Amino acid sequence: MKKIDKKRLFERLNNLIKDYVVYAPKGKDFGKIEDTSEIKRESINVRLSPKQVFLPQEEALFTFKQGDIKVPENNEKYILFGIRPCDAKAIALLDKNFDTKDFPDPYYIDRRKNSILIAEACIEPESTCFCTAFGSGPFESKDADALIIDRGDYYLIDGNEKALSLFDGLLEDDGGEKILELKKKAEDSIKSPVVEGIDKKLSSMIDDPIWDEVSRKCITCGACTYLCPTCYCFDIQDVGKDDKYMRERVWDSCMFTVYTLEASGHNPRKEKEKRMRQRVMHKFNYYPFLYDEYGCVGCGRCIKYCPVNVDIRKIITKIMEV
Amino acid sequence: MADKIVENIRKEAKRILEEKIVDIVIGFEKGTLPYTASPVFIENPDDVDKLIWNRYCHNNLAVYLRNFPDKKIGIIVKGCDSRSIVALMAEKQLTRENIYIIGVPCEGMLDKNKLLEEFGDNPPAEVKEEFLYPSCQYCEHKNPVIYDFLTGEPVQEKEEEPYPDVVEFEKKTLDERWKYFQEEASKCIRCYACRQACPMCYCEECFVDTNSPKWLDPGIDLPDLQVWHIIRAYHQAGRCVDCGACERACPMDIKILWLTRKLNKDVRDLFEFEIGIDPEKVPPLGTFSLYDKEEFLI
Repeated sequence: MKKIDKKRLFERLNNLIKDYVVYAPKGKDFGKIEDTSEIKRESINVRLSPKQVFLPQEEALFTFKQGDIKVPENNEKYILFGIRPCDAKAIALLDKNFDTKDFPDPYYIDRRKNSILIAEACIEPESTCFCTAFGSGPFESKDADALIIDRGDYYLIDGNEKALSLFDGLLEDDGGEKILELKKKAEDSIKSPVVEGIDKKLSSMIDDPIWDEVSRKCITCGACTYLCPTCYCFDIQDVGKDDKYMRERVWDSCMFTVYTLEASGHNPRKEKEKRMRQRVMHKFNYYPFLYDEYGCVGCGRCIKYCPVNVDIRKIITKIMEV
Repeated sequence: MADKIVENIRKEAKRILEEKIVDIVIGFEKGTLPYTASPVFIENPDDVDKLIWNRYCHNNLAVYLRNFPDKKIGIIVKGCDSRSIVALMAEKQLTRENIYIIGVPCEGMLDKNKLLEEFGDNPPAEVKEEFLYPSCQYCEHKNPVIYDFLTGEPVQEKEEEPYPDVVEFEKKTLDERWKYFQEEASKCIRCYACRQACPMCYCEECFVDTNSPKWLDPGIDLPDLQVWHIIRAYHQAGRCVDCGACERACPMDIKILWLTRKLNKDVRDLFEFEIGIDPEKVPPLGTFSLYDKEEFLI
């Protein structure tokens, strides 16, 4: 582990803005910065997650006009500064879905391959955090290119060559500083539900009455899915704007009634309990089946921003009790 | 006082479930976060102890009434929720006989985010009016307007001008108003929490969800966001009970209440109509009269 002076790190980051598109916490949300003075945290984690960098809410797949089809090119390089370890893990999960052998997604991959993720450890996790349920933790470094730990005037930093080379000449010896206690304190403050075996258990629960019970208070808005760092569902539509025509990819949500509405008028998930089941199954059954990992990172956004306090931790506990 | 209300709510809920007056009671249970209560659905009389009542019961429970078409429903309501029931009755969406209303006079609900910001996780014993949700600050109907059973002392209603914020807003120039609207609309992520939290947004197919015709594009282009918010508000003109559920549901903290409040004020001034008071009175959007005022036409 190395040590880096905060002021010098931000100076360097400011210089890097010339070559990189830099995203960082900007108050409540995560956004593009033009200067490091814009970096500001209003809560432990940002509301809109970093997934927006690689999977924007709205993007053109190609534009067309009288037979002239253009595919947008993206050669930008990105630095995502100060994302949380849970969100770094969420990006690793998105990679599994978009960077596949059979169907690599060029739009996602173009952005992702030129990106550097600098995660910041959570010294004081929030009451809605439950990352430790999924084998991750507030100091987890494996999903990011570097992990920084805030020590007041300086950061402790560890990472791969790609990330550390950004700060060439600024890294000092850490003087043997120990962070074990800090890490343990953060981990111990997180109360996570037990999830072991939930994936297998869910396989036999498709017709369980629990879905009606856990979805009753849900008002089926898309806040949980749009703020979720791992939800990646999208819709594709043709759009004409200001004399420009394009095929667009836009976020969509399995919680919406029209998400599965078919052209015939039939809707296999008209009832909200089926939609709730889909969201839970996708994260805790289908994702483990496909990619050997849970599709939830325990960031707690869906809990914090749900208008009616649907708490996924409670749903997990109920499933485990069945 | 609050304990007595909770006790009465539980007792009455138990009675109406046991006597099969209703099949289900919609109320609030303790939430999982600080300053939070959460909607709960009780079918077993033995479960009534889950029911609570406090100053965090801000959701408008009338939004769930249409979810149980075959059931007789007991529901715990504040002033605003009771007005939503009246409004839904006026639009023939509910049958009074199928609903048993437990009314609770409301002193206003407390804003979770303001409290968290000011006090963290440790709430103070007394909380000032400034911590109320904006909708509650302007509320004119704290007492339920319709009920079968009432618990708690009636609360003094406000007598002053109910739209001071709108009057202030109207003084701004057109450019200022448009700029404010654009800034607010630009935060939208199209999650439709505002629509879903609203008891009056019950259309089988929302105009944003139709694709033939496609009224607006998906995505977050500002013009589309503006159209969404303007049309949502217009569809609420004189139908909105001003409960503020839309604004409280918004994860992006968009200020949208003033839009519907402005339209409510216009409907009051033009048609002398207020929704959610009399279920027999037809809302202006649901009727037509040759004598409608058309002052805007010159």
